[in-house]
Amino acid sequence: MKKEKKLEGIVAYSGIAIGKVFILEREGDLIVPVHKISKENVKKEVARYKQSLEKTKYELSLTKERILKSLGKNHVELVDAYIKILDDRLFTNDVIRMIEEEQCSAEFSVSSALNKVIQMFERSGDDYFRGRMADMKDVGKKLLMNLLEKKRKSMEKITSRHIVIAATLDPHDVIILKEQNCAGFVLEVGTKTSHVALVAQGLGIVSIVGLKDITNEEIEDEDDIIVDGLQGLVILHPTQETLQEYKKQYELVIKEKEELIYLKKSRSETRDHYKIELLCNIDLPKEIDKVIESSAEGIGLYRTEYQYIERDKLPTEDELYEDYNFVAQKIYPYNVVIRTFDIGADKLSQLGLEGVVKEKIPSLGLRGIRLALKYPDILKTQIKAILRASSKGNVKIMFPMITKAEEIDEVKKIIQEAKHELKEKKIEFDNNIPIGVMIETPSAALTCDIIIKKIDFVSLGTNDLIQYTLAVDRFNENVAELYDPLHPSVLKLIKNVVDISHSKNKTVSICGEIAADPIFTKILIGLGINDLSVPPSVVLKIKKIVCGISYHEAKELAEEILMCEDSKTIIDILKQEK
Amino acid sequence: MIEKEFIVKNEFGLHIRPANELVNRISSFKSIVKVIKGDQMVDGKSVIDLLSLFIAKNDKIKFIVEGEDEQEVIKVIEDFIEHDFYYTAPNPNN
Repeated sequence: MKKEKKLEGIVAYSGIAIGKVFILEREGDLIVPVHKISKENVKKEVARYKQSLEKTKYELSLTKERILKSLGKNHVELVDAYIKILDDRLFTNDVIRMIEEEQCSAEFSVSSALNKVIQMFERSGDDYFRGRMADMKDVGKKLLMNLLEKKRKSMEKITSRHIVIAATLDPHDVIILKEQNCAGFVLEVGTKTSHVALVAQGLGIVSIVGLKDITNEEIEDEDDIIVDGLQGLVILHPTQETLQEYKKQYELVIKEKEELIYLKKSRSETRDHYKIELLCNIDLPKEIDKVIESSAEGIGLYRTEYQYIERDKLPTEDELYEDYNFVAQKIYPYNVVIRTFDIGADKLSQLGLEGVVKEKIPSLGLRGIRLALKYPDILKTQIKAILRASSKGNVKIMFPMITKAEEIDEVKKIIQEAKHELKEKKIEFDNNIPIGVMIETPSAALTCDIIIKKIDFVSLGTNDLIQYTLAVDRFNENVAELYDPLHPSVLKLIKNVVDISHSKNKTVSICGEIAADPIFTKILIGLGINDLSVPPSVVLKIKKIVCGISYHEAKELAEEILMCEDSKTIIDILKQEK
Repeated sequence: MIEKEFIVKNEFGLHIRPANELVNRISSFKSIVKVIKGDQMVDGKSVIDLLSLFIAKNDKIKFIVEGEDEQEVIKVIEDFIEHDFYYTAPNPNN
């Protein structure tokens, strides 16, 4: 009996797979010895090489359609890029020159050209470029296989009990593995971002990549093997004990996955069918895919600060628009709430503008809407960009750090000007774009009745609201303890905002951190919050809680908690709840 | 000969898709295109060469274009760097 052996690799798609080894190919199959050819044969060798090159390109183009069907447009673009690699000077000139000038065989010329490129990519510490190296290796391997006229073992014999082991796989191979219901795969090359890993993620096949030399291990077809895609381990020749342990874990993982799939499909509503909208907060456009993946029903807060910091000049309207439009198109038919920039005065000087003297307490200084109104042109540019992205009617605009209703009047004037300018240029936009504000200061929360008349929706920014209400900087360790989301004053302010908004038939959302903390979910729903806006990664966690509670009970809980005189009592009640 | 410097604003640098797109757009022109980053100079019409520069966000790169259609080529490059190259994610799932 062979000894159990654990090897560590990079997780491409996590999960647990227990099965039997199926070695598709060993790395050694493709080792090419130096091989010189005679002068007379050079022409023939070049022709043979060109033929293989064309054949490889043709094969890649055949896989394109299949990939389009199972994985979509993005992946096809990548395949196109690899076909293009074969058009590169390296393959069209350098290899041919090596055959002609050094009289090397086509196989040897290709593999030495490839090695040069691979060495170059290995130098980069960057995960992305290392990922491309794996892709390149795969393209090169295809070409070599064609030159060597080697055929791989047929993939038809792979079944659901098999875990495939190979030096490399291409995206198309992975699709076949999925069709054969293969339990998982382990590869020698690859990183988290190599194309094969992305496809494995897309199709959900447990897989570990970047496990150098796995094909040279002492394993044979049909040996027992475990892929622990939670810890990134491959276990060869597992003992009975290890097998049992993993079987238990496997069942747990399956149960969790089923639950997640169920949650993704289910509506976000309480047991007694009270609808709670689960939305996402994002800081960058590229997070959009995670939002869609999370099953959220829109974006409750798109922070735009990233467009104004760490750069040396102001963003142009087109630049801003490009991002907003990208997000709005992607999230359609759901809505996105775009919040105008909330930066401090200190950031202005970096943008090449006359800043303000350094502020002693920036959180009480020129930030949010105050700064924007001091530089109305910067705000107007942003508003125009947001309006332009709104033509499909799924964009809302929101303003930060409101402390008095007059600020809204000023902002609305700027919106009117922006609309007028766009109309003159005959640019389309949503004339009825909903306007909202963040309620993140006690003054705004207490005068919500005045504010609400002027706008369409409000969103509670609880991080700042708590900081300003309790006069606590939560990053100051001397007072961090006093930062208390359950302080009766905070709860009363939230309650006030909800009651007033509801009386005017307007919804209230929360986008602060407490929306993402499962401890508070029931209270927030009980207080009457309609939408919770959270990071994409916690949507399902919160959804699970929403689906498990009763709105009726949540309301009773909120009423009980509003009577409490301190947060310690509230915490005790919450503990009993559990 | 025209020389022009750019600062790469794309979040993910010059990864394979934009490199591919750039080569597609300029390969049919007659001019020779060289790209310089630091002390390395490569062929601007080769995807592999471009990737070998490991161009990341905020990197300074210089294009040197020489040939009868150099004016047109530099316009195509400018257009690409300033507009289309912005915010294309490097892969579909991240």
